[in-house]
Amino acid sequence: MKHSFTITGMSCSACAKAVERAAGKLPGVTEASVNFATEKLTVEQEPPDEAAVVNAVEKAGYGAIPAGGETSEAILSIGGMHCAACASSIEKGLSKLPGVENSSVNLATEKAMIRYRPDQTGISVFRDTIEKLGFSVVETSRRGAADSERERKKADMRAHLFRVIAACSFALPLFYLAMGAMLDWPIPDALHPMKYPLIFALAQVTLLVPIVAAGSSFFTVGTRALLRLSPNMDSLIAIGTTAAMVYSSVSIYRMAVGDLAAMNDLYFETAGVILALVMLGKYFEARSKGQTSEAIYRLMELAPPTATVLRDGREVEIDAAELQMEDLVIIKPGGRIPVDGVLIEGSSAVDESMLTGESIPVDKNVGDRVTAGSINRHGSFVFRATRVGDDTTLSRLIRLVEEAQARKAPIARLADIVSGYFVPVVVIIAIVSAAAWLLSGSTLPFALTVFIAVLVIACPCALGLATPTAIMVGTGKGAEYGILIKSGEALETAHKVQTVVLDKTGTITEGRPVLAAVVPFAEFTEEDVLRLAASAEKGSEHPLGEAVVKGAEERNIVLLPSEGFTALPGMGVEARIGGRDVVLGNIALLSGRGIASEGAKMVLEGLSDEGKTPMLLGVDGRLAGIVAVADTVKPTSATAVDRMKEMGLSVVMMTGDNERTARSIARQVGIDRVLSGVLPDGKAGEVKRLQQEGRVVAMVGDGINDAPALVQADVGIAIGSGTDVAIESADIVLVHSDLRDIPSAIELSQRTMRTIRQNLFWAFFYNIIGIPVAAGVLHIFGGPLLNPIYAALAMSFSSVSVVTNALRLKSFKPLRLSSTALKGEMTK
Amino acid sequence: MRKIFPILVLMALPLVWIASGKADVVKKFGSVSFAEMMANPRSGASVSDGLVSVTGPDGQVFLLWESGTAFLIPAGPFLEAGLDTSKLPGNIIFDAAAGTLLIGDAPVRGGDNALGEIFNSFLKTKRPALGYHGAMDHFGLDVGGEGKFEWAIRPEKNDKDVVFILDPRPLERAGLRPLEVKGWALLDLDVTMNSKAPRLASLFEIR
Repeated sequence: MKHSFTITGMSCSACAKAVERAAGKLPGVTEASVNFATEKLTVEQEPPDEAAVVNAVEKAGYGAIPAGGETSEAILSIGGMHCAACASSIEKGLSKLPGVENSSVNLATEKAMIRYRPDQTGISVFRDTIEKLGFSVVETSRRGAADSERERKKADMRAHLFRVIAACSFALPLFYLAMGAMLDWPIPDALHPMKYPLIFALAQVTLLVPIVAAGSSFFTVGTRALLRLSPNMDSLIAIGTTAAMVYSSVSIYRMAVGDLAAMNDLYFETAGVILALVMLGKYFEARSKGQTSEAIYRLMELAPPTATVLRDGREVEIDAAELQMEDLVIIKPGGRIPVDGVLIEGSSAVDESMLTGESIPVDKNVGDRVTAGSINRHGSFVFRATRVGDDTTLSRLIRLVEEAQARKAPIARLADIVSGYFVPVVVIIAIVSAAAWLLSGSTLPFALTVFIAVLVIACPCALGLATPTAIMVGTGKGAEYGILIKSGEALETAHKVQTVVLDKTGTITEGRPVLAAVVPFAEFTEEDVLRLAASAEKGSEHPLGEAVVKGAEERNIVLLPSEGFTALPGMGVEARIGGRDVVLGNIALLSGRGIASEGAKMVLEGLSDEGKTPMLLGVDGRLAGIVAVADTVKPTSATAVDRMKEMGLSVVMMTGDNERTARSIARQVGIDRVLSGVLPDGKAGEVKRLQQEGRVVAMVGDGINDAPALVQADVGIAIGSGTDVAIESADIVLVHSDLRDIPSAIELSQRTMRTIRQNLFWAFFYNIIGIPVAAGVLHIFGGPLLNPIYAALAMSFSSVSVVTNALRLKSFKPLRLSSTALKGEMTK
Repeated sequence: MRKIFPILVLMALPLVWIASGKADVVKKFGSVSFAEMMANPRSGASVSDGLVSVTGPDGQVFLLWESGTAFLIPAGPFLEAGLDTSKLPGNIIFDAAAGTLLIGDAPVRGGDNALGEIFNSFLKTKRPALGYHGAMDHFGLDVGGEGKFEWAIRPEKNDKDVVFILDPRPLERAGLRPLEVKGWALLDLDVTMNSKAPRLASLFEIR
């Protein structure tokens, strides 16, 4: 079973590795994977043991909160309180409830604030409890887990910012004091190192203390990691700055005992400025990382935290998490729909743009489906909940994106391997470099400078962030535009796609064929042919059959009862109607039943050339007529195919239709290669054949019969309007059922992969160049020695730059929304 | 508050040390070093009539008393190098009878204080005049504006044990050609931790 946790206290990819190791060692764990960017740990464990995982992670020095263990916050306005005793009794009553972590009631504001586990309790329980105590609940509001998570992150950011400001406020005067003496900036006589060297040093200590306090986590986390023999970035900073501080403290001692030359060996400002700069860099990094999760928060915010339901004939506001199937939910104008359901009373126009991309509100009447996250524009209505909790369309979309972001892309593997060894290797390089300089006759301060610079410049964070941040922004941006990429692996493979195979019905076409022609033969009339064909198809769920039935109904033709209905996949149907044997399907089916159809050849070819799908009707062993249905091509399909061709992709259409019909549709959208007459069970085989040609194949489909081909393809792309099976089998889901999102998905994948490569290149290049420079390689050839302060600046810049580069992906716009696409559509 | 308290304590500890006066190591070790230098028979040092003097091999004298410092320098080499005594600024006095230049404060004689008492009394009012020159490992006392009297902390490890330093600029304005002053060298010397300037220097060893 897979379960996930939010991890706190990680500072770099080495921390992520340590958490993975800790969780991975537990019994029953087959996989433990940490996404450093999302700070999420996913554990595959049988039997699941959340407590053990939390324990193991905590032992490793980090925090773990099981998914769903997040708390929510409710604020209730309470009526009927008169004194502090009333407030106290409510507080006690609420605190006793299981799942309530804390509650406080403010008599002055008449409000109760309750922090609770939404999986254990909810607003309706609080309401009942308060009412039983003799008070009333006037109004409720709730902050959901997503809001709480956001609040927690915001609070963390505020605390982080405070620490950064504090550190910088002291680092600036410290830097001025230390450097001012050397650079002849004005310094008060009382602090001048040539007059009062020890006071000069002690003043620096005073300024350094708050900086060290603000950055204390570097020392606590870094030391813990070091003691566990899994040093991380904090360990590097802690070792480097501690070395500077210890050496400078020895200098203070030396001065105190009369060796005033030690005033030249003070490095307090190095330690202070390094800490402040790294904290500043980490702050910007955290801020940028926060932006990478925006898309998922935006999806989460679509569902309202509370819902109004009808209970015993009265309206009651409850926690949306408490909604049950069959609950009757009241939606007022401007309200958001909390769960999926079917409208049973009233009517309205509903804005479903966030889920379908359709900007015009959709009219909803009794019997229509409504989806969680959409917004009611005008009237009020009541609907019956049909999908609640994690089962709503919105929850499934969120889950898809979250899972995609939690999974690692194969390209991250190299960075992961390097991260595991990075920090210990850097420590060794720092020690060896410093020792080499000492042995070559350099002074101890020189060797110390090299030692600190190597530790500080090394940046495992950039390596750890290079891939997940780009994947988060890429998948998040895709989700925002209805392109759901289900894994990092899919994102990575999509950019390599060379051939796109498009299923015809429902993918290139609307998938809602209509009756287009009825051709009678012999003594049969047009009405006879349509009646018999529609009666035979009545039990069919095939879209072609449904079109025939609908066509007959529209012509007010009364259908006859049928017996022995048999669907023959890819061929047609047969049934017994009014005592006659009726067969409806393709030539192969009729031939198989011994019915000659040569006389209809001309008609069949004519219909096929027009893009219609003809079905031959055989009655009692004779050809009785032809019914033809036609499916209309989606208005955007041709633009999508054009774009894919521009991108150098080979586009193939695959259909069960005959060659002529298929060619006609392919011509309309500009596809050259057609695989026609492919039976449902042959689709996967066709994809495999294309793969054997050495092509990387993406298969796009919408039906159950496409599922094997979607799985067989290197990338399976399901159209969102399709079946659940297709969506489950696919790697990418296009929510808007718009083919233009196929090239957009591939472009998004290409841009994301380009960003990942740039990030990885930068992260590796930075460390490969930075570490030798810090070790003094340039100095050997007469070049400068890197000041550790510049090393800290470079280190902070490197991780910020990686995240910022990933954020550039936010500018991505799908073809559907780009101006060139719109112009193209208008021209067509 | 609980977290801030230890931080404030740690911040205050160095300040307490400073406030105790024990952190003024230049004063503490400078006094000792000055006494050691004075005790060295080759330094030409003496204390008399409240006046501490250190005499160089060319007759140049550093003077220290409870309220000031000065150089008393034979004027001959300067006059030969073009010095026009009528153009000297107020803090440089030419004594034609004695043939000397007095640079700095006007000496105040009197009292029978010992060296330590005179030095400490001087530092009570003129503490910033005493400094430590890290690059040379010298202590130094300011004399007459930008002049300085420096002595090595460890003469056994230093080749410039006692140094008389003059700012040549006011003398140049009075016609002096600094490069031509016999017994004195025009050198680029540290004036701050990071900058150098031309100074007339006369130095000798006392090892």
